[in-house]
Formats: sequence, C-alpha cells, structure tokens
Amino acid sequence: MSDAEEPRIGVFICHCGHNIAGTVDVKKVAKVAAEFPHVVFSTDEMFMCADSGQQLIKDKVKEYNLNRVVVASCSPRMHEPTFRKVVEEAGLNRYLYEQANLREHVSWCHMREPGAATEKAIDLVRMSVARAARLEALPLKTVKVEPRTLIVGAGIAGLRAALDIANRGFEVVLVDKDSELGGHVRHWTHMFPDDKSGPEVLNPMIEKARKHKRITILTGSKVREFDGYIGNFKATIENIKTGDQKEFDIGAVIVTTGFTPFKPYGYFGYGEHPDIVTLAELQMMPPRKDLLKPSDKTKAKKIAFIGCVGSREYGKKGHEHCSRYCCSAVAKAASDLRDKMDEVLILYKSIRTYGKGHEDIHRLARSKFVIFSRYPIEKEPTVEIIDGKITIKWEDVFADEELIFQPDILVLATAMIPPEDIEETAKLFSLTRSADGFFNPEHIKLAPVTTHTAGIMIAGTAQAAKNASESVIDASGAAAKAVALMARGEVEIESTVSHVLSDLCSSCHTCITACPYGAISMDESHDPPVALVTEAKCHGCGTCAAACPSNAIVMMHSTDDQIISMIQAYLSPMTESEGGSVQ
Amino acid sequence: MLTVEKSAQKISSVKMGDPGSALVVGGGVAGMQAALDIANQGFKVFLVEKTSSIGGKMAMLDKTFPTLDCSACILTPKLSEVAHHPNIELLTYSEVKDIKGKAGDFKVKVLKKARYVDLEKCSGCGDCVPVCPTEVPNEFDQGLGFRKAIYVPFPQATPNTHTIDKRGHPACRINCPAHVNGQGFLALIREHKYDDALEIVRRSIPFPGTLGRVCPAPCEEKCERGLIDNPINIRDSHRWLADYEREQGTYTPTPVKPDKKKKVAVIGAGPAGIACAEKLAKLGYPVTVFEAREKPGGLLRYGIPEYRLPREILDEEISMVEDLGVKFKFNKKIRSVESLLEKGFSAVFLGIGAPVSSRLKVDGEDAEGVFHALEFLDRVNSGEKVEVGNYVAVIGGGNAAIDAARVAKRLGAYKVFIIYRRSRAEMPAIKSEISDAEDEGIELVLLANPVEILTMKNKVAGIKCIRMRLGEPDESGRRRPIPIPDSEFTIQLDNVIIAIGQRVGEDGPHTELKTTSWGTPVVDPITYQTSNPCVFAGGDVVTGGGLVVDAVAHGHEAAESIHRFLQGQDMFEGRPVEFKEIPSEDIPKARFPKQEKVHPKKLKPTIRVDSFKEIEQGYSEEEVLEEAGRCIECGICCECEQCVKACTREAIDHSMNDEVVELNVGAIVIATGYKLFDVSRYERLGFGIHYNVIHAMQFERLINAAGPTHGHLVRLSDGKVPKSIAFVQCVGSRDVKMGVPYCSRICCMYAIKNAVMAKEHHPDIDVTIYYTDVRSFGKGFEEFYQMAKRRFGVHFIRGRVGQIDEDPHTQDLIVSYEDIVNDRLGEARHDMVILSPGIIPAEGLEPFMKGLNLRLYEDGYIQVLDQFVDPVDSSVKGVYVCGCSDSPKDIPDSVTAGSAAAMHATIVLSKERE
Repeated sequence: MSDAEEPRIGVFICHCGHNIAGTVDVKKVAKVAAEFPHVVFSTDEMFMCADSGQQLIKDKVKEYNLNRVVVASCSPRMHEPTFRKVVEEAGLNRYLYEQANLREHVSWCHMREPGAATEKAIDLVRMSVARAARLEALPLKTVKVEPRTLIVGAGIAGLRAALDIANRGFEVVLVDKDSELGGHVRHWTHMFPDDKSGPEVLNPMIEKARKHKRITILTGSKVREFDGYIGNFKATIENIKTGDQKEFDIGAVIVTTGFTPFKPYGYFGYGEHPDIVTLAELQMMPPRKDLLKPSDKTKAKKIAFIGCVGSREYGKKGHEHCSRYCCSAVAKAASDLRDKMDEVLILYKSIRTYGKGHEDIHRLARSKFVIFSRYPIEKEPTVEIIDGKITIKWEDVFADEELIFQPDILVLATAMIPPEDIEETAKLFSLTRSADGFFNPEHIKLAPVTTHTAGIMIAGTAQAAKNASESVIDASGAAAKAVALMARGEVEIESTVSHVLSDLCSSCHTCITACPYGAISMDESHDPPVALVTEAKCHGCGTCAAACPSNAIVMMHSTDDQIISMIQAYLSPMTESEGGSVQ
Repeated sequence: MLTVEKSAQKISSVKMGDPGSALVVGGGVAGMQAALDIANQGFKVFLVEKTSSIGGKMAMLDKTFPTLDCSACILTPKLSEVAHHPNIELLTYSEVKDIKGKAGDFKVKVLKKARYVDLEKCSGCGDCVPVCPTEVPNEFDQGLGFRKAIYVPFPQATPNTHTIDKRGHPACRINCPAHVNGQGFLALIREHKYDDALEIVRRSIPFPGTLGRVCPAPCEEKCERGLIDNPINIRDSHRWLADYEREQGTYTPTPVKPDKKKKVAVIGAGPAGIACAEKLAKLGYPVTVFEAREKPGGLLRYGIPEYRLPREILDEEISMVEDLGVKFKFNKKIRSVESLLEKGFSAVFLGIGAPVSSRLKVDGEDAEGVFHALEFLDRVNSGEKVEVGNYVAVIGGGNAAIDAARVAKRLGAYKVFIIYRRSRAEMPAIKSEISDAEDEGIELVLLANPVEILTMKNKVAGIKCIRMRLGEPDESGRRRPIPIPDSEFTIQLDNVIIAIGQRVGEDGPHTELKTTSWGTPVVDPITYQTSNPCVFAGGDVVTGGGLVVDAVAHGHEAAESIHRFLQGQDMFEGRPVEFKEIPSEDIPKARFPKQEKVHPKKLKPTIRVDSFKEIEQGYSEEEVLEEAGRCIECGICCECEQCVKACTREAIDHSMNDEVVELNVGAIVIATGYKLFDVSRYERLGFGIHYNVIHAMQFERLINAAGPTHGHLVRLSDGKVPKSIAFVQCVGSRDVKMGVPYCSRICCMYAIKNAVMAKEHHPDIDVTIYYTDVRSFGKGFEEFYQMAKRRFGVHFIRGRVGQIDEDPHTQDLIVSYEDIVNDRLGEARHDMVILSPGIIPAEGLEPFMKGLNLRLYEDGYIQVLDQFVDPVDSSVKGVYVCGCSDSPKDIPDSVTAGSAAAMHATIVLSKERE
C-alpha cells in the first residue's frame, strides 16, 4: 500500500443460501460492518460465489473506488482463489482480498445459538477488516515449464501416461526400478472383464513405448535425487545395477509407483501349506489346460477363494480400505476355473462387482454353480492343515450352519497395499499419504490425480487400490495435467512466500534446518552470507519465520503487523462513539 | 405486440470452429473437466449443454461422499473457471442435432434453443421472477417445489442468466381465429392483475365484453383441460375482465395521434371493419369508417338479440375504438370503392358483411307469415314491433336459428319449433344456446327437412317435412342427411322463420372487384388483398357468413396488410404467424386433480322468456378466480410479458428464435451423463403412490439449504420431522427383469452419505439401510461406511424390500423385507422411505449413432474400444467418452475420465495443429 492511498474497504456478507443466513443475522453483520474503520461499503448477498455475487464485487469496486475487498462467507480453502480472481478482474491486486469464514467457523458450529453466532461473525468480520486495511499488493510471478515429464513407475498406468504425453508431442522420461516394463499386469494370466492375459494387453503398449522417439526408458533405475519446483525440477536417475547416474530437467512428474500385493502371513494358513496361495500368485501360475497343485503338480479338482484378506479390517492401520479389484477378479477366476474343476467355492464378506461388465461375470459364475458363501464379518473362517489337507471351517450366513471344505488349492484374495518404499517416494516428491497408505490427491472428489505439490501428479494404484482399467484412465488424466503445464510453457507461482530481511539475518542457519521444503539456502554473494528463499519452492508455511531468532523473516501476506491488527481488533473492539460496532 | 409482427421461424445459422478445436457434449462435472483440460492446453473448446446451466447432476447434490463437502461449494469454482476460461465457448440450452465427418474434421449442427433472455444483457438479478404468474414443478428440486416459467435452476447457475420455459403455444390460442392469449390473461387474472389481463385480450380483439358474450369460443373446443374434466371457460373470463373494468370505471381513453399521412377508409362498421380501423389507428393511420346504417356494430347490433348482448356493452366498446381517433360516418352508404380512392383515401377495407338471408326454395316461401331470419332479427333489433302467431317454426340449426326462435318466444309465441335436418350433434349453434332454448320451452324437431310451407289464402298454415337419416360425411365432415322415403309429416303453424344461412348482397362496392361464384370478393387468404391492390376485404363479405371472431381476425390481418402495402413492405414476410403446437401428450395432466368448471349464473327460463334482459349474468370476482385457477398452463410461459415490464435491462425478448450453430471441430468428447431410473416402475415400492416414499435425489434437495425446505428434513405428508427413515437400495440396479443388470456403482455410497446427513440433521433419528451388498470400494469409502455404522449408528439390513404399504391414518410406511442374514421376514414402520434409484444412460446419442455410427453396449452405454488400453476411446476415432456416458461412475472417476478423454482428444487436435 502506498502511503498516499487510504484504504477503502468493501465488505460483502454471504448468506450461502440458508447455510449462513439461517443462523447468522447477516443483515445485522453487514450493517455493523459498515461502521468499521475504512469501510466505505457493506452489504449482504445470497451467494457471493455465484456469478451475480462476483459481479456485485466488481460493480462496487468501481462505484465506490474500493481498494480492499472483504468477503465473509465460507472457508477460504475453496473460494479464496475465486474471489482473488474477481478482485483482479476488478482491477485490484489479488492480495488485497481478505476472507472471513462465517460458515465453517460460525454458522455450522453454532447452529443452535444464533445470537452468539452473529456476535462472533461480527468479531470475525471486524478482524478481517482490520487485516484488510494493512494488506499489501504483492507482485505476480511466473516461471517457465520445462517441456519434459518424468514418469515414475512403468506399469500399465505409467505406460499409458508415457504414450499419451509422447503422442501429444512432449518428451517423457519413463523410469522403473524393475528391469522390465509392465508392472504387475505383465504377470497376470486373466484380466477382467475381458478375457485377455496381461501380456496380450501390455505388449503392444510396450512396443509402442520402446519405439517412440520422445520416450526415454530407464528400467532397473531409481530416482535418487529430486529437487526444484513446478516446471523446473531436476531429477537424478540411477541405474540400480551399474550405479550410473543421469540428470534430467523436468517440467512435471507423474508418480505411478503402484501397489504391492499383500503377503498374508498369519492369515488363513498362508505360508503353512504350498497349496495356499494369494490371488496374485494364482495369476502368475503358468496358463495351461489344467491347474496343477503347487505342492505335487497334480491336477486340482477343488478350489476355494477367500475374499477381503487384509482388506476392510476395521481398526487395522493400512488395511481398513476395500481393495476394489478383488471381488471381480475372484469372480472371474472362479468362473474360468469352474470349467476345469469339480468344485469352486468363494467365501466372502460382500460381493462388490460394481464395474462395467462385472455383474455379468458374477452372474456367469453363479450360473456355472460356483458356490458363493458369505461368512459373518465378526467370525472369519478358520483354516487348518489336517492330515496334510487344507481344511476350511466357516459359518455360512444364509444357511446358518457350520460348514467344512477341503480344497486342493486355497486362494487368498489379498489387499492391495502400498509398495514398501512408498515413504521414500513420498519424501522424494513431497507427497502426503492418506489413511490407506497410498498418496493423497489434491482433492479426493474434484482433483483426484493432482497433489498438493504443484507439478506432481499421481495415477493408478499409487493413489488408491483400483483395477487396471481404472488405472489407465487415471494415467491419461494425469497426462492431461502434465501436458497442460508443458503446453502453456509457463506457470504462475504464489507470492505468499517468506522473505529474508538481510540486514537482520544473523546467518545462524536455523531457517535452513526448519524449512520442510528445502527452499532456503545461504546467499554466498553476500558478506557475511545471509539466508535466501527460493520463492518457487517456498510453500508459505511460515515455519522459518517462527523459527528465526532475529525476526529477520517476514511472511508475505501474513506479516506480524497484519496478524497483530487482527488480534487488536478482536480484543479491543471500538465503541460505538468511536465508530465501532453497536454491541 | 408479438402476435402479428413476429417474423416467421426462420432458423438462422452461425458457423464456428476449426479442426483445431474440440467439442464437449454435456456440461456436467465430467464434461466441464474435459473442457478445462483441453482448453488449458490452448485449444478452443465448445461446451454444449442441453439445460440452461452447466453443473449437471452434481449441482443438485447436497453433500459429497466420503468427505461430506458441500457439493455446490466445491463445484462453483469449476463453474466459474469454465465460464471465464478464454478458450471455452459455452453453448447452453443447446443440443447436438446432426454430426458427420471424421477425426480431425467433424461437422456438427447444434440447435441453440431460444431462452428468450439475452445472455449479454441479463444480470441474473431476478427481478423478473416474482412477477411471473406461471409456476411449474421444479425439476431441479426433483418436483418437490415449484419454479416460475422464467427461472434459473439454482443460485450458482452458469451462465447466470434466466431462461424462459416455453413449451409452445396453447391450443386455445392457436384455435382462436384472433389468437387471443387465453393462458396469458387467465394467469394474470389469478395474479389479480386485471388491467394487464384485459390489455392482453385487447391486443387480439377490440371487444372483450362483446365477444365475451357472443363468441362460440373455438378456443374452448381444443382446451386441454377438457381432457381432464371440462374446458376452461375462457370466454366468460374475458367477459368478466371487461365487465370489471366497466364496473370500476377504470377505463381511460388513450387517443393515438396519427403519425402517418396516408388515409384509410373502412366500409362497414361491423366487427371486421371496426377491428381493422382499431388496428390501423393504433398503427398511426387516420381512419374513417363509413356505415350505411344509423348505428355501428353490424350484425352485432342488428343480428344478435339484446338478451345475449346488451347494447350499452356494444356501444361502449365501439366508442373505445372511436376514442383512439377513428372517425365514424353513419348513414353513409358507399356504392363505389373507386370514389373513395378518388377522394384521397390510399387504401380501403371492405367489411360490408353478408346481410341477405338465404332462401329455402320451397313452395310457400313467399307467403304471409314467413320471415327470413336476418330480416326478422334486424326488424326486432331496430325496435320495430314485429308480431308472431302462437305456433312458430324456425328452419335451421345455427345461431341465427336459435336467436330467431328465442326472439319469437319473447314476442309472444306459444310454441316454437326448431326444425333441423341433421341431428343435434351436427347443429352449428353454440351448445349452451341450444339447451338454453330448450329450457325456454323451444322444441327441437331433428332429422327433418321442410319440403313445403303449407299455406291457406297465402298465409302460413303449417309446414310439411320429411324425416331424414344420416349418411356418409360430406365435405364439411358432417354426416350428410338423406330423406327417408314416405316419411312426410306436417306441423300446424302461424309463422315460419327461415334461418339456413346468409349471403352477400347483390349490389354494392364488392361488385367492382373480382368475385367468386358465391358473389364474394376474391381475396388473398393471407393478406386479404382483393383484385384491386388498394382494396382489402374481410369478415362475412368474404366468408359469406362466419363468426364474429373470424371477422375481427380478418380485420386485424387486413390492417397489417394495409400498413405493409402503404409502407411498401413485403406483404407476406413472416405471415401467417406460425404457432408452435404442443402435442397433447407433452402436457402433464396427471398432476391436476379434477375440478368442476364454474358456470356463470343465468336468469331462470321462466323469468327470462318474458323480456330481452341479459340472461347470462357473468362471473363474480371469486368465480372468475376459481375458473382461471383451473388453467393447466399448457405453454408453461404464457407470454403475458410481465417479465418484460419488470426487467430494467431490456434483456427479455419473447420473439427470440432458435438458432443453429454449425461447428467444425477436430475432436469430440461425449459426457452426456446419466438419468435416474424411474423408480415408479416398481409399483410395490409405492413411489408416486405414498406421500412419504421419495427417491434419493429428492432427498438430496430436501436436505439442501438451497432446496425447497431450506434444508429442513421433513415428511412430505405432514411437514413433520421424521423419527425413523429407511433407504432402500438397488432400485433399478442389478435387476435383469427391469433391463438394468448392472450395478449402478454410486447408490451404496450416496445412501450411506444421506443416512449420515440425516443423522447430522437430527441425531435422534433412526436410520436403516436395506441393501443387497454394501459396495464401498473407492478411496475412503469403506472407512466412511464403517463410520456410518459405528459412529452414527446407521442400521444396515441385508435383504431386498418386497413391499411398501402406507398406513392410511398416519401416512407412515410399513416396509416388508427379508433379512437374509438372520433368515427372517420382517416388517418395519418408518416415517419416510428413500428409494435409491439406479442410473441409466442419458438420451441424446442418436445423432452420434446415425451420423458417425457410434456403437453402444446393449444396456445403452457407449462402447469403448478396449477397457485396458483405450478406456476412454469410443468406437469412432476422434470421439472420446467420459463420466457416466460409458458406464456408471462416481464423481472422482468421472472427473478423471474427463481429464483422460481430454488427453486423447488433444492428441488428435495437436496433429491438426502441426
């Protein structure tokens, strides 16, 4: 704010339909706010985020020559970008916008106390107005985007993403720690709902990827170092065997590191008998006319499946989620094997054949007399080896009876869990993980393939358990995000970053240790060297500012001055005679 | 005025796009995502959405699982991003109609439906909404509330522009020769806006009071309400408006100062001439009406008896035309049109009627005591004393016959017969007039035809008739009467009045023009121009005898022609006005309960036969409000134009037309989404039968703060907060018999989410979910399910529901179910049951199937090329699918597919660009 420019604040109180206005007296808040210092306009409106509300802001900025805007509505998480854009369109710097949260912080949590809620709303608006008066315009910055995408993981998702990006005309570096391309799908003999084998699906893709002039394939390799910021990453990739390292300039990253099939030691006799296998292991058995028992290579005549092994275990960390693919995969395998076997049994908690064509498989299996038996959630089947024979005992829910079955092979449909090195990957790419252990998307509903780290995308089973078809869709989706960045060639970065006042810096290095993003380094050109923030890497978290013993770090857009003004506004509301509120 | 000046529905077309641009069909969340991801790569995108706003089904949802984010709140930034994206061109309220070409070069025809509101001018302020008189069930709220005909579906609608919902033109308006906007004025009556209502009537007819009494109301014949119970009494409703204005004395003359130089002459002050003069005066012409008789009105005055049309009504309505500035010259018989043209009139309208009665052509027709109806009525109506004997027969079945019979009765006849050669059903007279006549003691002698008027000393003594039977229909569509041999009979009579039709006079100005074999001037059926280009003709002189309202319509049309003629404009452009008929089956009649027509009061027959006092007393205000309330609003928007008045930005244009946009694009993404399964198909579950059985989308609206109850969860039957609710799963999913063998994939989660939301609204509420399998398979879903069960205490019962019955006293529901886990049949009482409909493919893919040979699966979803390798590629190169267009999907899966489809589309587009 230039000294000459007196703040002229407009306050807009949102009803959010009935959400806020049902509890908070929005008219009163608007009226009281009109009397706050520097406020030259104050009103209330049904939906500020609707086009009409946005237009209202623009109109009033013009009419009242406003230079600050406060919207009191919902959490800024969703709509701060919306309103920043609006004030920008109205000709103001986007950082001259301030939002008070009257919904999550007031109306929703104080629904039964409308009077007190209104008072709190007035307090919050007063604080926001106080802060708004001290907001400063910040410059808008862009950085260029390197036209190359790094894809980590060359399973079916990684391959699809690589082909899409390369076909679209951009460079791809495709890395996999495995020596072969194709991930898990390569091993599968039966996909669902189609009847193809994994290699049948994969081979054409692999061939295309290998031939593509824009795809650099690095198998048997790992990303060792990863640094930089959106559009300008640097990746060091090492060949695991040779230790050779290559460096790449990268604009965007897609993480398709996939899953690992859960090895269910301690579940249903796994490991105690060679004929107790996981579904993934069954899939890897060589395709031939008859299914042979692993133990003695004789023909298996009876087979049983148990579902949800290591999935849907309430209260067990990393195993609470549904693994999504298994019900349909089991139904498919059972249906196929029924043609060669005398008896096929499926023990399940529920049947989740939800996807395209999956119900058909389910119905087909039942029509072939595959036995589906539901066991109670609270009472799982037991597996014992009696006289060398796999013996399953369980209670059938529908028959309400204890049953026994001795299959030649027992297949455990085990959970999809994150690969062992997922934490390493998470750290490398600054990704967070959700309760299921997989990576967290930026927004679970509307931004499922982007992450909180700008420029890093996730796809396939790196994001959550899912089937191959769904992974492939993810991959193309993530590719679209990467391409959008590269096609534009440059990207805007946030200006709400930390800033070192070099005169005050005591070169103590505290901030460098504190920064979780590696955004601070020492500027050796200074004498003595002082801390320097790489703005594109800074997330604006403020850790450094809090840690600095010399008060040498300022958080742009959250300055001490701005924060103290809010506290003051809260603690000492102005009286009515001073032009304050009418409390 | 939108009736006549509106130009024809010529659909204009605009061309847009190039092979480097993309088309996205469907503006739901998947389509929006696809559009954004294509646009973000720098390609131009056309986003076509068939409804008035983008946002799709997601905009209707309350919260989303598994995070319970407010659906609208997380959607609005996307809406706004799409709307403001420089590379996205939104085509809302639009549908793809035709498509051809191939990847890299598709040619698409998009029909941009008229929304009657200018996107550029409308600010979405909503000033138009409260004044709109028409309410229809709000489809956005799933029929739980009402919206106006001018509406935005939801507050955050994008573009934030109102839309007028017009289904077409109601049958009443189309069938009225003068196209009186019945639905429009009835709607304004309901709103108590009587002045504006009357103004609507007067746009089409200058005599709402007169026609409100004498019109046979062809409008009512086609009234759709007639298919429910009885047609609306449209005629008496506009009569009431005129009477009310008279009673209130609110009429104020509004003279029009002529701004045109050229003078127009009108010959004949009957309904045609006056209507023509009125319109010309309003158009700014100096008009003079020449009338041969001493008073104006033509047959309205000299034909129609006073008990049907009190003369002060007629006089006042004609004087209103005079007030406009029309000059009347009475007792001025014009013999030659030429003379008028010579006197400086630039154009002439001929409305001299057909004042001569047709002759029966039987022996005795010239005997003493024989009258011809027009002359008979004229004499009586002129105040002449006409005497009749005790026994009178009237020959004919039209209105003149009935009038003559009833007049004869009032003149003292003891017994009056009406002899008609066909049956009652074929009688052209107004049906109520026939029964009124019978009530007055007049006897109908049907299927009888006079063969001779019997005379004695050249005085009428009786009539000899022959019995008739009905044969095959003739050209008029009525069955032809055929004499039955040897069936003659006679009636003794004192008088015979012949009322079998009328014809034009043998001399007069029309004889200067080219005429038909009937002697009527030949006119152009659209412009009413005669063989003399300066001369126009209409009314009975052209038809040889028609309805008053026909004459009015002719007068108005001729006035329009005269205006165009004098201004040198095209006589035919945009004429006749095309009305859009509404197929009867498109009008939802089931939601209107039967409600009897309100009949206006009449004088009792015993009293009325003694005088010429007006018989029909018209409506009271209360009655007309009740009758107007019966209108079922066929057209939805009634074009009352209240919105036009209310809009301060002149954004509303009722004459807007549909437009065709021809797009050229390189790639296409189909995101047409889904429809909810029609749960009423499971009759046993009681949807649409029991009040408190609703479907899940209705529940979403019910608990939504912007919904019909502002988010209060209440029962529909009594508005009480339910204590126990149940969700019934797989209604229209996994049911081979219903044609939906597949799992709809989203229902388990939305039901669990809604169950949790019910608990959030009222923690004490008891919530049960009857399910087949709980399919909580997505990221965070299983965890959400467990939370619902453990933390919120939602009951889960595995088993399908067999039947839902209603307790007739409490409207509580009795749910019969099978608990298959505990192996028992159960019955449970719930205050409310929410059915979870499965989803089925949306409509509108025909142009793709026809034009591009797009292939679908048997279940109606779009086929993809390969589920593993190309899961978003359709069978047509360059056409990609996302969202629920290829299979049911939840929001995150739809969004991802949107991005994926965008990715594949841009690969095609980038090739075009190279």
